[in-house]
Amino acid sequence: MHIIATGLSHKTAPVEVRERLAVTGSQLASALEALREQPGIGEGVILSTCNRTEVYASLPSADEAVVERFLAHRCGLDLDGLQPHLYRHLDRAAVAHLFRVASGTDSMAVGEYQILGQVKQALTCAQTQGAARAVLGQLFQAALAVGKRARAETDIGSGAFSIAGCAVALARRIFESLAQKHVLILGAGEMAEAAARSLVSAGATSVFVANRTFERAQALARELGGQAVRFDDLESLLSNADIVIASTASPHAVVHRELVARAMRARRHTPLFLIDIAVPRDIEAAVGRLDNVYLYDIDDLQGVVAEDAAGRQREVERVEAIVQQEADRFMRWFRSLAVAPTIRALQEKLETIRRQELERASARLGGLSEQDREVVERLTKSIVDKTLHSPAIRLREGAEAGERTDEAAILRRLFELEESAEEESP
Amino acid sequence: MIAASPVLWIITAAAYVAATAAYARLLFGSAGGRRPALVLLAAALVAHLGWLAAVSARLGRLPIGDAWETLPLAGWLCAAVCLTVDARWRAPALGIFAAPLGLGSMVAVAGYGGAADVPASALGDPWVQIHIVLILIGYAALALAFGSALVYLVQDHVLRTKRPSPLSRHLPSVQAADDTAYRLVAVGFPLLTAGLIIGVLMLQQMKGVYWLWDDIKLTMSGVTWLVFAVYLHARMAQGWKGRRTAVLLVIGFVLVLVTYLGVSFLAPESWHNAPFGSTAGG
Repeated sequence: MHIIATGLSHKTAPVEVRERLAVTGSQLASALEALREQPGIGEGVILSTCNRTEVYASLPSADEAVVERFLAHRCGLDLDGLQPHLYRHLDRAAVAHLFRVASGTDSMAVGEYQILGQVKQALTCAQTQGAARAVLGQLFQAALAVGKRARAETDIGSGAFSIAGCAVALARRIFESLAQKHVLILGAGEMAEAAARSLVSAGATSVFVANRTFERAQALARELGGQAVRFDDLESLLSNADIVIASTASPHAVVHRELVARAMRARRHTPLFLIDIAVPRDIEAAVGRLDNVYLYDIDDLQGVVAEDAAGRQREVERVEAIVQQEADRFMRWFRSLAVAPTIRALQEKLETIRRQELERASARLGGLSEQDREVVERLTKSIVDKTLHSPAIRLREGAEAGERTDEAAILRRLFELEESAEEESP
Repeated sequence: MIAASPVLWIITAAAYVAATAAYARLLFGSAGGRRPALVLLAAALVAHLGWLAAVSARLGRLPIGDAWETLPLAGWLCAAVCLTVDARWRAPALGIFAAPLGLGSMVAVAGYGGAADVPASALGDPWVQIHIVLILIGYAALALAFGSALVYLVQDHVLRTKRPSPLSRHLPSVQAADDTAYRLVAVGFPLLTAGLIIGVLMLQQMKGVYWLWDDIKLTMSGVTWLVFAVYLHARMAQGWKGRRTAVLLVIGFVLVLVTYLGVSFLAPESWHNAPFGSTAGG
């Protein structure tokens, strides 16, 4: 049996391609069903976020093409067109990849926390459908544990390593708490979206989206679970928002000093955090000199992130060490699975022999008391258990170590055990 | 003054050191440790209060004879206000000032014998004591508001230079520092006002007038009071926050220092310096 992971992410495909493959919440159930109907697929989980869409599956043979064809069919793209964007991982590589994803080191906003919730959701949905059972169920649970461990034991989640994380870290230095704070997006864009998502994950209460085209604002608002507002009264928008992410395509600044000064008076000078990621900039530089106003443009943010490029590398390496360690642990468990049917079959055979012999003998042991019968019963059980003990342990050990892959087959031949469906060991 | 109870003095000093360490660990170390820090600071305050009681017993009056003698009480009040604000509104940055302040105020009188020539009758009057203590608590709160304003200015500066250092991650947010300063002034100002009113009424009783325009200490007290009144008005009526109000608090604190300590040394001939007729007084 094999585990394969196939999919694409922001590292391998542009957003236009990722959009075609994305599986939204309501479609997830039917997509999983369609996946399981593919020939050879045992268990399956689909993980789809704004950064990636990946399919994890357990198969008897390492036939990645099945999943690739499934993906191509879903998005209506020709397989040849899709293939350059796909990555494929097999067995241990697939396990390590999922662990890396859960730890946040594969995300656009390195160390983000949101991915953990998304992995959990993917698992829950697959489990409800019966698509994830023993193998993938265990794999995803392990991934969640690894994700938590990585964040607890390293600084990967501290927010210093990505623009979005940086925005959250700065917001925490400005506001007493992010709860009850309102985020306003002016315009649209991936980075604005990512920053807004991070802020909401960190506790911000609501998101408002303003765009010169109201329909675009509505679309983005829907994505983020927020509200679309008209772009008209900027002053009023600014007085009600605490964190503003400016990302319009305007060639000139749209937010001027006087406007912000008036908005500050209206909001009684509660601090205002302005994030200007537009190029050319949306917010006049002079705004940053106002009291209680903190303005960071894209260069400032990148400067803060770059300051610690070495730190980021260091934390990513530490997370990788954890990922490798946990992947080894999971693979040991996974390999031991392969021999479980054999051990069970041996157990059943010995138990059958025991019962048959006991029955035959009890006819001749008619004069035994209840107590004596019990002693005999326990005796035979004990012989069977002790006989089974060391082969079971040795078999499992050998499987976990990935060695002696023929031992199970030898055992079956010697004891004349029946073949079962899940026999091949990875 | 330590001689009143060396044992209690040592226990108090040790407790303050432990509390400082606990708060340092809370702010700069790993998460958790809020409860031990609060408990240690509270314990130090209890011991400190015990020592102050011993000193009072030995002196036969409250230890408020002159500015220097009053320091341990002022230190206790500062630490007590810090603990209250931290316990109520969660301001651990205050806690790390509290213990060193308390400790410093105790160490400052290490070699001090106590105020000389203060007529016991003067300080025996309960109104005098209330006047002094209320003003002290007010000053303590305002001094801490200054500390909070300093923290605000540091964090604000760091944010504007766009190079947030890892150290500033441990300081409170600008909003928290600013709000804490406001809460401290909101606590200290009414007490200061009450203390000043009592002083004015006592002056009326003693001299028949409500104010002495040529007394430096009274003038400085008035100016100090005015600065904080302006701060409160600006904040409450117009929502002023941030750098300009922080500057007001810095000015206010300098005035507090001048009023509390400076006048005794700079203008010893002013009436308030010795209202009951002795050469020493606060």
